[in-house]
Amino acid sequence: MRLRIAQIALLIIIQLSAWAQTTAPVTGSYRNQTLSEILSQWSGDYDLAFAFDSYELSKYKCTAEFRAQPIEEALAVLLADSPFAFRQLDGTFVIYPSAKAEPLAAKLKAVEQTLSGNIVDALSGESLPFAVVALLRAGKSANCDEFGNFSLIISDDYAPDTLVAAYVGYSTLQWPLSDLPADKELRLSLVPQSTILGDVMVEGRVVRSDAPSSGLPGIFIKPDEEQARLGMGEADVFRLAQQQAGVAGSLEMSNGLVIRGGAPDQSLLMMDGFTVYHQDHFFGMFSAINAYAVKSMRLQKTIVDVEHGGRASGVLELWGKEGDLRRPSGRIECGTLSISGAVEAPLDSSGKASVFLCGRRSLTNAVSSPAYRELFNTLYSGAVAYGSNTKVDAFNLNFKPSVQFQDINAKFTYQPGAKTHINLSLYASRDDMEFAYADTADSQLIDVVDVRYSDETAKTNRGMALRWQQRYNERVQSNTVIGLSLFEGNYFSTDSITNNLFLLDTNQFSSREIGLRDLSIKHQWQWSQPTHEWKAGASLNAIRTTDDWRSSLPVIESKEQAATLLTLFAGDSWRPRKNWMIYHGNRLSFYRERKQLYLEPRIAVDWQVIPKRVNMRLTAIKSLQFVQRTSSQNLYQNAPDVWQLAIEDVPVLKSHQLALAFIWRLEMWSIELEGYRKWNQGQVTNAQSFMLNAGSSAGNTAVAGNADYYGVDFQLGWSSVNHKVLLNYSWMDARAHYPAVSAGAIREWYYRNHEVKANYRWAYKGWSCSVIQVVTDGAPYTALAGFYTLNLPGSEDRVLPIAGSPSAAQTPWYLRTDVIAGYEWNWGAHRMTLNAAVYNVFNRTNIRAVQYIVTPNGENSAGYDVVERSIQMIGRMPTVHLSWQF
Amino acid sequence: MRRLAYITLLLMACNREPDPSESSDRCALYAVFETGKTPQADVVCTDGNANSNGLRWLWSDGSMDAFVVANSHWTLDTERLPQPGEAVLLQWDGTHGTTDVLLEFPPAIVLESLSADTLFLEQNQPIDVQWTDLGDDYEFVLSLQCLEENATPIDVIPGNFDALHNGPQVGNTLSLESQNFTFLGTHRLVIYALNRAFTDVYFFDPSDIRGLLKMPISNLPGSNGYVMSVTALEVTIEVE
Repeated sequence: MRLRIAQIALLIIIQLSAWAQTTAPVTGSYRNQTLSEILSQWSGDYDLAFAFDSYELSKYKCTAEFRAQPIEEALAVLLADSPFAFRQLDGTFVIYPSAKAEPLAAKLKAVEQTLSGNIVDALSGESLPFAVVALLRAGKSANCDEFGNFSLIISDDYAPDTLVAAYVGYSTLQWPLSDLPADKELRLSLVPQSTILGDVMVEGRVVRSDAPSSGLPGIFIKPDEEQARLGMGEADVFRLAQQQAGVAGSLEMSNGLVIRGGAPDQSLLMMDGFTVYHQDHFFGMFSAINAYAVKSMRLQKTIVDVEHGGRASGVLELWGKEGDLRRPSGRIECGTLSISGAVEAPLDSSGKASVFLCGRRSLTNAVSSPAYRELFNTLYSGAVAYGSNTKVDAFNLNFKPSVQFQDINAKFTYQPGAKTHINLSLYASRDDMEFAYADTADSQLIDVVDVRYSDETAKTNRGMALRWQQRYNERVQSNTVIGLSLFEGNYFSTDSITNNLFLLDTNQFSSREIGLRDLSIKHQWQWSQPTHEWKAGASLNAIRTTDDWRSSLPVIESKEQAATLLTLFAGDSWRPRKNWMIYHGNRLSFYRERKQLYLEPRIAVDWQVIPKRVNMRLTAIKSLQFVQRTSSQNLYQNAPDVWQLAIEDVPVLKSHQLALAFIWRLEMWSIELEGYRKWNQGQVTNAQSFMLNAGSSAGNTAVAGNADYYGVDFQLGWSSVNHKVLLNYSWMDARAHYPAVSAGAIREWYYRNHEVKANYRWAYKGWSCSVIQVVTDGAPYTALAGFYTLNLPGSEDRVLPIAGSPSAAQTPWYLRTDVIAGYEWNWGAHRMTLNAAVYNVFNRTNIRAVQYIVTPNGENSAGYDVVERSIQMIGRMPTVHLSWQF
Repeated sequence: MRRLAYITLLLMACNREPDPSESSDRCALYAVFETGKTPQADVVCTDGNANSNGLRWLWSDGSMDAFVVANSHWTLDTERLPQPGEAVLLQWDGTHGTTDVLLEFPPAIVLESLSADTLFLEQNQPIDVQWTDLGDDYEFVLSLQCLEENATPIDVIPGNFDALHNGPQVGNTLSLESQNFTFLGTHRLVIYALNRAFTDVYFFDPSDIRGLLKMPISNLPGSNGYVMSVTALEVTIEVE
């Protein structure tokens, strides 16, 4: 049966490929008409899709006659005398500037001039955040900002030089500088290349590019959907970050990133300028942000940029798609777990405004796919089930679970002029879960009660950011961001209790409402000088948390916290010499709740030991965190995430970090080796996580302590036209000290000493395939060490279990292989993509934690036995996705 | 390259020596200290090496006595015995450092009334016992032992004293009836007073409602084990 389905699918793919676009020949006579007019006419007459800059093409006129000529030939004739070329891409003819423009007067030979402009997608006109521009000969480069703007100050004769503009997934544009007009803002259009593999830029360099180093340390990632699907069945941007060295990739959860051993809540996730606190769907299985809505990502494993703060570990910035400025387009995708759709369109005819809308909804209420069953059974068996090492099929029990999620992203962009850029980003998501289970009365020592638990969870997450960038001249610009993040979680449980001794039925309920609101306002200025790039600004954060807990028992707890943080920051990228870059900055924060001032100095020194080949970078920073997650959500007892502000018992988390990196690149190779040391002071954790059965513990006991980390991240990259290999190895040792838990050093559940990630990707003519292998050492857990019989005065002896050292035991090594294969083809003017992925393809049984289960035994003096049970992680999970882009 | 070497040396210098306390084994201390008896304790280690731990007893007057160890069993090396109402400090050099445990022995309990010292089975007249009320901070547990070497059973049905008094009680009275006893002869009723905080261990159930093993009960801050201190009163009762 499976073979037959595969055969049918293959036939459909082949048939669809055969229907690929064929166009009618072009006929017509044109006299002194602009290129823009002619292309617009062809677009209407022959139903052809073009992408071009109408303003630029309206400057060139053409007189020609075409008689049933193929479109490619007609375009070649049409553009012959213009500085433009064309290329067909996915059914669209992209008209882009060629490098053969007429020689201009070498105005750039004047002393100290500024090259500035922005880089856009030639197809859609969308800006390309964090693209790289560089002068090849001079070895000077710059990263664009999040709006694709760049500014290069040149103070010498650079006429013989070549300007390079590069962005992952796009053709690199090389332009002789002598051809560039120097009297206006440059608008560089890059042509997308779907078969390009270089999808990761390291430290501002394209992996295969020889563009020199620039700017702050950080990893720029263009979300590659195929790579993003190497996860739980949903395209997940967190999976891309987790493929990097130093970011844990074996935890199988997206509720925060574990960067260099930092707790998940110590990583800041920002979407277009607002903070995302609740970061997942499906109780942590995959991230709440739709990967298709993300245009670009930047990951900082050490927070160097003074613009960012508030977290001790790292920052993952997501920048959403702005929408096509040229023509309406859309996309529909259907996967194993969800269906999603997106539309983007210009809002005016002049290419100044656009809208992007993207929504996703789960199919779990309609389709009980193997992936859904595997995900839920993993959750259920880890938190609720008991008694055996195998997973329980929750769908075969009497209580059918219901897990649903949905999210929507919207972004409005308005560019009234070349120097003004305004974004309004909106985000909303919702998760609903309902399920029930019975108690384990049979395994209790005394079967006093039978209980049926019913849990309902509803979580809503909303975010909004308004961004306004104003460029005053080539060197000065300002950015203003207003961000609002709201989270509301309602956790309701009812317990139906039957007392077997007295035959009484009672009901209990528990209702907990968690709320979090984060309002942030930031205004900053940036200005460039020949050897300095300054950034200074101020931000205001107002955070409020609420926790209302009511139950039928006489328990009513209500907790509300609010805090305000005012921060001034300033930083400078200083280039004292050609091969040196020194970034230095500081943040000064006033935390109103403690009425204290805090400083966060940051420094990074980048030295090109061998120009364009070998770099060394030393980073030393201090970072503070004023809100910490003291308890994580858990399916058992319907426990929520709990965030607490640095008030009363929760201290301000202070993190001091030191890192030394060695970066080497040669043609298609790149190697990065970075050693680091971190000292965290005032770190808060849940003491329950160090106890027996911590994997299914629902308690919340926040304890504060310190932690000490050191490790090495190694990354080896190699890529060619069709192949790309990324090999990562991370070694880390971390020791946390929580006096309330243990007098000695202990390991958090997310610590891993060794982690190897190997990623191979191949692509050729629409076909692609990726394989990732993840190997880590096991997870720490607290083991049962034995028993002690305590002779109690006046009573029977009690057999007490003895716990081993907290988190001193370790589960077996984690090993996982994921495979994904995809095919892209054009169907008329439409693009179709089919992906098939298998998570954990060898169905390796990985162990998340170990449980100890009590079984009655009247034959021994203790009256019970203890059985060890392993909580399994996700097994083999096949998923399929089909997307239609139009 | 000199700079590179300097920076490398700087980073290497930051690497600290391993902390000897960061071993994976863990020890637990268990003891029930009773007034008028030589203090004894058990140390149980996951690696079996309990002898490397130190245990000291600091009296309220500042003097200190050490424990001597034999097969993980520690006995205080002194003639002095703890008294009711006395506070002492127990210092334990556990795996991860020294743990201090403050032990407060409950006040002395005094027999306030005993309706009779002999229970006659034929008369079936209960014996009422009353002792000092120590207030809300304390509870009592009771123990009944037959002191006869060759005890004669009263009936084929055992007495129900242990079933009725297998845990702490708040009240300071007791009524002894014939069905409480299993044997004829001399019995010793021991009344233990203990701080209310110690009553948890009497109700410890190793499994939660799902059957999962609960975290071991422990009252040592930052360490593992259970230590309690009690004051005892003995009453002799005859059954005929």
